[in-house]
Amino acid sequence: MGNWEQMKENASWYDAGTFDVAVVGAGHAGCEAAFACAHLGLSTLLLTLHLDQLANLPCNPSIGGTAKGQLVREIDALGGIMGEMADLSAIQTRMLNRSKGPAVFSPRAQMDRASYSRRMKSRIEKEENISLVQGEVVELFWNSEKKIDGIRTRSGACYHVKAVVICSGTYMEARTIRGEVIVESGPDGLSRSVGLSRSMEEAGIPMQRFKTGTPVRVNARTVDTSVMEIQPGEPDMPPFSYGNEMNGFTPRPDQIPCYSIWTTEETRKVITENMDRSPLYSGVIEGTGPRYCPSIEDKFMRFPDKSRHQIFVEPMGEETQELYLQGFSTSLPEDVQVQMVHSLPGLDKAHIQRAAYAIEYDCIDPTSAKLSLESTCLEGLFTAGQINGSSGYEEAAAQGLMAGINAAQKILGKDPLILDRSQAYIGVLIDDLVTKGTKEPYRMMTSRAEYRIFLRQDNADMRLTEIGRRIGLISEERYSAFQAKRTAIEEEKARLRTTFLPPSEKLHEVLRKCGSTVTQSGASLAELIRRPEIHYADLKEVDEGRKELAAAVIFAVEVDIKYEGYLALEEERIRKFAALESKKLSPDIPYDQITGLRLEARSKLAQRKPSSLGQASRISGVSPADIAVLLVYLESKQREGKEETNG
Amino acid sequence: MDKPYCACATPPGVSGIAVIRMSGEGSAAVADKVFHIRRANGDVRTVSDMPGYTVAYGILFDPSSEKTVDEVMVTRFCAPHSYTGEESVEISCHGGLTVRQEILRVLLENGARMAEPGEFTKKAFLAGKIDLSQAEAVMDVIAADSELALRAAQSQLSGSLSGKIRQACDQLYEAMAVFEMWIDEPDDEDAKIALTKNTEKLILARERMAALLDSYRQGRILSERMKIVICGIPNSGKSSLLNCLSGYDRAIVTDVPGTTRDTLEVQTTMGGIPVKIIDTAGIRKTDDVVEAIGVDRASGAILEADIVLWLVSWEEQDRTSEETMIDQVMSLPSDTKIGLLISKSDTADEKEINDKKESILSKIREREGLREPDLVASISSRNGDGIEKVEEYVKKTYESLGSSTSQGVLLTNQRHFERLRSALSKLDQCIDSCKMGESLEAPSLILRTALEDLGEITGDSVSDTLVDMIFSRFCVGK
Repeated sequence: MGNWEQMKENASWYDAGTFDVAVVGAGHAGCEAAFACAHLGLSTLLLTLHLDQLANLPCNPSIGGTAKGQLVREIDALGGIMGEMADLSAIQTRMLNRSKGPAVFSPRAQMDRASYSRRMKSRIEKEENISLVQGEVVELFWNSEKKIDGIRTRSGACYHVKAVVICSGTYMEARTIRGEVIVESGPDGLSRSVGLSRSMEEAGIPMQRFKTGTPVRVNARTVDTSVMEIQPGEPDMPPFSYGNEMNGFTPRPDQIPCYSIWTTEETRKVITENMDRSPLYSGVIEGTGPRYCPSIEDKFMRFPDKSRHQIFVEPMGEETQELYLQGFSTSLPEDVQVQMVHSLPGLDKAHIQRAAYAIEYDCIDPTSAKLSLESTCLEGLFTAGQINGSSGYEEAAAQGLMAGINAAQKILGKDPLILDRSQAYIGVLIDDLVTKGTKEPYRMMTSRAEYRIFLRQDNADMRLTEIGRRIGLISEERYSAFQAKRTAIEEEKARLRTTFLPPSEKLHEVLRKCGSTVTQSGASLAELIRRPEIHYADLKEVDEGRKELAAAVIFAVEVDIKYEGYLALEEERIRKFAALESKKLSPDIPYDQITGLRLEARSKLAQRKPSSLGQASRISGVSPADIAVLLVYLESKQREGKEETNG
Repeated sequence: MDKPYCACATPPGVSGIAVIRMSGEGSAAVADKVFHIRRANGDVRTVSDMPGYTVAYGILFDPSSEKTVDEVMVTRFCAPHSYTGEESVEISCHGGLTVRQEILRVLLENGARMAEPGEFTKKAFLAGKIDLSQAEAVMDVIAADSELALRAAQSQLSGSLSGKIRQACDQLYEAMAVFEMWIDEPDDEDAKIALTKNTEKLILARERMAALLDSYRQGRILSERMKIVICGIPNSGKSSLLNCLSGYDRAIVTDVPGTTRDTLEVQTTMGGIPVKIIDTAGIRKTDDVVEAIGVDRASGAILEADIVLWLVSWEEQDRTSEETMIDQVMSLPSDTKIGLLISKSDTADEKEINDKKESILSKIREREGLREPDLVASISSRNGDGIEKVEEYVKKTYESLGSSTSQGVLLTNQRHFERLRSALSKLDQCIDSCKMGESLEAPSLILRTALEDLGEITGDSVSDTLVDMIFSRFCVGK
């Protein structure tokens, strides 16, 4: 099928109206996509399978963490909503890596799962341009030019649309697995999506099947936390959202603790003895699972030398007794799960409320998408989140925001917004997926980012607010607060560089107190702050011209000064990187006719149609020599063009 | 600012003189560090003083040891009046392989970098020095150059060099994975333990790399020679040919088949071309364990050869072994040249020799998918008949390899050398930074740049290799 005419003959249907954009799925990706489209003035239809499960956190009830915290800050700096919602629903906040250099600080917050979902629903429902509807999309329509023009739901509602953003999460053709028990179902017993995947395949989109999993939830009343190591929260963590930062938001002072425990010898014994009942090892599971986030049985099998594994015990919310066992994901049968849980310290009498399961689902091969997240197979179709082979709420939200923005840009007749690897983790994420592809659920890690001293959580606003404003997602109020912050940072850095402290007893005393060496010739404030053992705050007594500044400003100033040398090194690397990125490649280049390109490079380039020389260089099978050949080709085309205009 | 880049502009092989070209802003400044002018006009004391299109005579020396490398002539070109349109220097030196390699090494150690395949031509084109109509030819030069470099790299990477670089890289990736875990997984206890030994690990890897670089410098690895492999069934006269070609008795020659049980190597020149001749054990089925190992090595050597000289004695009777040889040799890829040599010609008449040639050639043609030899000749190692023909063929082959390129095989090696050197100095910085107790995201950034250098030798994508290393070494995830 795939077009209106055939559908009218075969299916029972009705015309449900016209929208600019339909967003399919209201998880973390879908909510951001719909929100972005609506704010950019488009009439937006947001379809969900379950109206009470918006922005669900079916796995770990937390947002942020290493690399992921940076993503949330970036989403916020561009005008997305995840950070704002997460600040409001947090029951515990922590700045990871606080004992390390400020360049690798990562914010993380434990969510009240129900509250997060409720808040998001209410926020979306209040949006002027969004129609939130419960319905299962089963079919896409496209015209003779392979451009999308409509969708149909299971109940027969057909919508005329100019663009579709699919954010299907783990729901397409999903099945959950516990040992021998296989259920055709989405996460948490929710109904799955059937048929949409097939329709995408008919449109020529290459599909894959992935697998992921989630651990058991136990009732806190039946758990003894006194034998566990407590992980308290830190109420002084700055908020995720720059909007909340502007309004002086602080996390709640009454932080709810998490706990950590270790698996025991008994856990290993139970698992080893029951491995023959694991669907992973008996071959029931066909989908490719992640190396990140492996099941507990996988951990024991792959690392036989490791006698124990750490488990985190985390609350699911304030109004529930459910506890989440992070690190204890499994697809072993339910009866084995009971024994496994009871082998853990403090959990010997624990009562399981939800059993763990593995879940398999359909997703696309993301190399069939462009960097704008639009499909190369079907014009006007965008995809975001787990459907693109990623894993994680933050990864999904980041793609949802970009897909939403780019669907809107397309309808508004503007150029797509593409962030590169030196601008944002979002750029790294999308470039990795689209350029290299993935064979397992892809998780963001800081090691994937080449320029991470520059891509920090504290400067996401400095990197991206201008872009968010240009697109139209940053309010005037937010923007002027941003400008004021930027000015304050620059002024303070200039002041620290130019304020010179002569040697004095007072200064020596301050230096000695920090465990630093005294300076005989004096030093500028910036020079002193550059010393690893000295912090901005330590110099208060000797810095007479100091003004009261916001904590975020001080943080940014300190990082910029401490890392000055490394930032310069990174800027140099970014310059080299940008030189290739700025050489654009038209999709019409006849790669098969370019003499000098190797055969493999020709076919890969013709198939992927990279947008720049830089992107081409990251495709596997394209060598540096192929890039040199392309450079000469581009130059010769440019000269030909000039000669034509001159002649 | 990009560094000036250099490479040998004359074809490889032994010749009277050779020209090394260096181009890019700062070329004269690099030359000034290593060139001492003996005779020039007027007030000219340095290369930077020289006007464009002038020549100076002097000494090229290594500033680190103050040793003279060669007496050379230096020609100066000022931008934009040069081949590439950039400031350039051309050094005319003596034609020996070692001299050229030494000069390149000295230039690299004093601020130049090795040219990319086809880079001079590419720059000339981009600067508008080469006509648009030649764009395709330019692309072909780049492709051919890189193809050659790639082949040279592959032949090396299958050898001990690659093993050593790989080992050093793996150690560095392991250390990097520990840094990454420290940042990405703050709670992981294995990573915490590994971290305490990480600086030690880095120092160990550093020592390995330094040793590798030293061996490079001494030219042990950097002996770029064309590989000629002599093969044939037992007692076809392989060792006699080796002795004949190398001019002295390297191999024990007896008429007991199977005397050569291992591969033997001789480095010599043939027609002025530096070559490595490899004599192999006779290929046949054998129950003798030691001989069997020799036979395996022989088969391996054949696969890596530039030229295979396949010897068939005119009196040969072992039909089965002969047919095995035909299948093995004549199915080699077409870029390996094959010479079919009928040996022991001094003991036979012309007809007997021709009969043997024809019988082998017809057997080759009978079989599907086999190619014909590139050279067919008869030789006698005893009286030297036909040996000249073989030498000429070797020279022709070498020149045909070198003709499409200005740098050839040399380039790959010198590039490896340069990247290794750069990686080593970064590794030093990284270790210093660890020892000084800097927060580890700083040394990890430096280490990444070192891995990026090495990646240009091994072809690793740093992020991907790193992520794989993390997953194989640590149990990560929720």
